[in-house]
Amino acid sequence: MSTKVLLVDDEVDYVNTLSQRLTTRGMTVETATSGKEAVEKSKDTFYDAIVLDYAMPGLDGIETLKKLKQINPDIQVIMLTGHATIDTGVQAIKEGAAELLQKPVDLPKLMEKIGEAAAKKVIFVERLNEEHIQEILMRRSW
Amino acid sequence: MKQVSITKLIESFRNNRFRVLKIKLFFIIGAIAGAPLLMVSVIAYLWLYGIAKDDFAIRFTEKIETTSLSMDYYISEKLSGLQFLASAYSYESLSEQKNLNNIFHLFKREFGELVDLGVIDDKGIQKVYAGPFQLQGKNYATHEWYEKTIARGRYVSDVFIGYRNIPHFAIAVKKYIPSKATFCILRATINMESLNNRIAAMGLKGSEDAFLISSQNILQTDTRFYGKSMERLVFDVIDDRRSINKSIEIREITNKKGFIGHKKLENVDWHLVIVTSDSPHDKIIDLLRHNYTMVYLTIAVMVMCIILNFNISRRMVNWIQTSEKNREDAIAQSEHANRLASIGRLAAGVAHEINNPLAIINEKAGLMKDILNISGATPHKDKFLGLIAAISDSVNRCRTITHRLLGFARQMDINMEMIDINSLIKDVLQFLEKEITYRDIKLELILNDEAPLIESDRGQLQQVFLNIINNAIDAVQDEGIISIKVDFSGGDSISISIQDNGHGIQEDKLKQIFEPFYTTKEKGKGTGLGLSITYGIVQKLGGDIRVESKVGIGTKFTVELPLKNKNSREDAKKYQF
Repeated sequence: MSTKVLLVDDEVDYVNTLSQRLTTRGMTVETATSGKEAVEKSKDTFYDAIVLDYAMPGLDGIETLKKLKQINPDIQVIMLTGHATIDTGVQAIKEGAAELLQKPVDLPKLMEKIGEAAAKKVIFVERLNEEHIQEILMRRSW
Repeated sequence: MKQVSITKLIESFRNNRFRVLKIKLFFIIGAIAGAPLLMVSVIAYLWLYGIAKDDFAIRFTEKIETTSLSMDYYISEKLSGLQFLASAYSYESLSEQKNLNNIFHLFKREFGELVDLGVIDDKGIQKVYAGPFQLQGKNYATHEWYEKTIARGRYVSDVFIGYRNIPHFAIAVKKYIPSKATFCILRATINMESLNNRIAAMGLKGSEDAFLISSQNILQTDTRFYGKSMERLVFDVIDDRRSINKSIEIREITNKKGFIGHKKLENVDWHLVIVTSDSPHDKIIDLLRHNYTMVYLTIAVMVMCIILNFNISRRMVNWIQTSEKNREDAIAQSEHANRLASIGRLAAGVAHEINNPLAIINEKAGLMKDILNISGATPHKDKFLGLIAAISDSVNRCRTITHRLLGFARQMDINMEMIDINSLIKDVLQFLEKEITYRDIKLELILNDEAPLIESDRGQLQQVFLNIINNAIDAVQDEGIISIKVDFSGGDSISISIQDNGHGIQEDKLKQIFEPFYTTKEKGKGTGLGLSITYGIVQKLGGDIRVESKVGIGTKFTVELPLKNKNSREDAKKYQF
């Protein structure tokens, strides 16, 4: 099963190009050009990783991140920014971003981070499953 | 060149302005300090002058009194003697030439200064005469003194020349001759010189002049300054109204320094006049002249005042000059800083905007490369790949530039705020947590709840701790230990130490670590700028950074931060550039 990624950026050109490149490298990529669209899409699908731009019109990166985390606290979000400061970094990490990368991003590095995020998600899902199973076991009355 | 000369011109104008200010200040302070002093001096002088004047008047009065008394005594003595002769001797015995000669000699022996003695009958003819001149038979009927003697019974004449051509005056007494029912006059004369001698004997000072004048203002004796005997005195001494009473009159000479005083004598129509050019003012001068301590003290105080004043005005002007210069410098600094800051913000904005299209170029080029790689052998494939590599290189260069610009802009603004150092460190750690966890590094975090808020710049401080902790992470092996401790023991600073148990730094290299471009990391991993930037920031924030290290044991960085930023905002900006 290939890694399932959602790319979110208001620059359509950027999203499309990056999506093609990642697809070429064997990932399943979906795109969104606004925070709102991303939130909608993640309601239906549980992505292995979401690559989210920091500065977007409308719902900005941090707001989108918050919403995504509300929908699924275990979602792995990699933030991209054109203007990284420690403050933005701290803010993003606090809100639960897995990683903060500076634009223009180095593709191998992005792939690596997506890979890490996906691995973490697997752990989460497994743990979730375990909890689930235990819960079910606990509920059994025998 | 032109600018330099204008600067010099402004400088010289400014210096000139301050010199003028200094002089003005000197005089103003002098006036402020001097005015009360002058007032006190004037009051003291007036007061002293009053006392001296009273004193002077008393002494002057005394002098006139005693002198006039002595003159009175002199005249009345002669008059009484003559009266005695007239009473004691009969007309007959007086008329005898021999007898009169005897009486004259006796009289002269007892009373002295007598020139001659004569008896004049009721026709005014001198009947008998004893003396050095040939005056027997002279007729005095028309002489003023003769008439006055007949009228008054006794009389002292004014000084006159008479028959003998020597200034003299006559003392005459009328004697009744009951047997003949007529009278005769006994007359003695005394030379004016005697009066002069008499006055000379009073021991006058050089500034004084004493003389006798008649009620007609005719001098009776020679004077030092106002003419000879029998001349008219150039000014009026006697006020008719006042001379009636016999008291002493003293007044200031109107257009000349000095005083004049006079008193009418008892038995003669003469006034004793004493003129002095002394004044109470001389008295004060005299007093000062004999009191050197006071004079020296006054001069010393004055000199001290002037020196003090000079110093004060110089210091004040210097102070004003310095503060004005500081203010101008500060304004220039802050203008410069503001300009740089806005340039920085502009640059940051541009860099930020450029990053997005740059990202697109990057990805498009990458995609082209991907496609070429997939599509197998195509014409000019290698050439295209080369071109794409060139595009990627250029994008990388642009990225470096924009990141540098952003970094520069971040350094530009210093925003002082109150910061909780504990939470700041936690924030920074959150950023590094992943790496720490990933490498299994053990983190000992000893925060201090007692630590007060400090006034500093959040972003800069984050940078500082990120750099140091990052270095610590790089220094330790996997599963190493990093210990971060916040220390506050009162005082006006807070200290944060970051200790690792990494490879440590050699002692001889310890001194260099804050120098720019010094790095121990392998090539390409470090720029050698981290710690020098860190050092610069800490200095800028008014703090201090120290390092201790032992090879094989570890390194400890201690950052001291002031609770309040000592450097003003302007200063903080100044250190930046």
